[in-house]
Amino acid sequence: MSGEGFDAEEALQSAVGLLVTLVEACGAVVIIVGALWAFVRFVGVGLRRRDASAFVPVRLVLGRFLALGLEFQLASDVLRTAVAPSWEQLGQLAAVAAIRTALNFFLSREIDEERRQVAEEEQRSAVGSSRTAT
Amino acid sequence: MTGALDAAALAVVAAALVSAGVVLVSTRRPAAALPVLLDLLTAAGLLRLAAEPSWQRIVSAAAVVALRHLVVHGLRAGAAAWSVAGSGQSVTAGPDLQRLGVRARAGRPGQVQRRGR
Repeated sequence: MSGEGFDAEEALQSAVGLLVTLVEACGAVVIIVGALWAFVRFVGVGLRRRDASAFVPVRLVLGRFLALGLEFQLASDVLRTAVAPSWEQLGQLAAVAAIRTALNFFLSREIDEERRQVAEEEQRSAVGSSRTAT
Repeated sequence: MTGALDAAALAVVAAALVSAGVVLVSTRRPAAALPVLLDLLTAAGLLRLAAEPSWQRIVSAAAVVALRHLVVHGLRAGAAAWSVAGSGQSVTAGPDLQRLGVRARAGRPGQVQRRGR
């Protein structure tokens, strides 16, 4: 390989490394903010209410934060595949991407399911209150 | 960045324990506290994965994700099983069942009521 080619490859690797760090940091910030927000809400709701269903909306929002953070992390995984020098690193990358993809899939499904349950409960309570009013 | 992410993951683990404790004390239902604990532990696992991927971290994150999935589905399946049992025959809710948040109502087939205060 020529000296110029080596330089270009190195420059590409450092540029991708910088991008990977940036995108992964964004994902980490989203997850940290979501976890902190959920912690404050869990403690606040726990001190004010004793109903287990009061925690479901907080879990839904935390799930959305996690899903968004996962999207960023998956983006950084895709970027990393551009420069994965060894089979060991490639294997780890594949495992991490598989975990993140599976978690993203299950989180989205759970969010949909819980959202549906919350809507059903709201509808049921609305029907119950209208019946007692009449 | 690895050190900062490790510290953040540790803080999230502490937040998970405190949150689950608050939910447990507030509702007196482990079934309500467990998903809270596992959700925040999942967040901590994701932060650790972002820090520096190693096989040990990958396996532990996968274990938390699998455990979370297993617990969520186990609780849902258990609740569904109790509701089916309640529709076929009269079932008196015991303390364990009440802790799960499901109360089978005798004489009202197929109906499940969440326990709330």
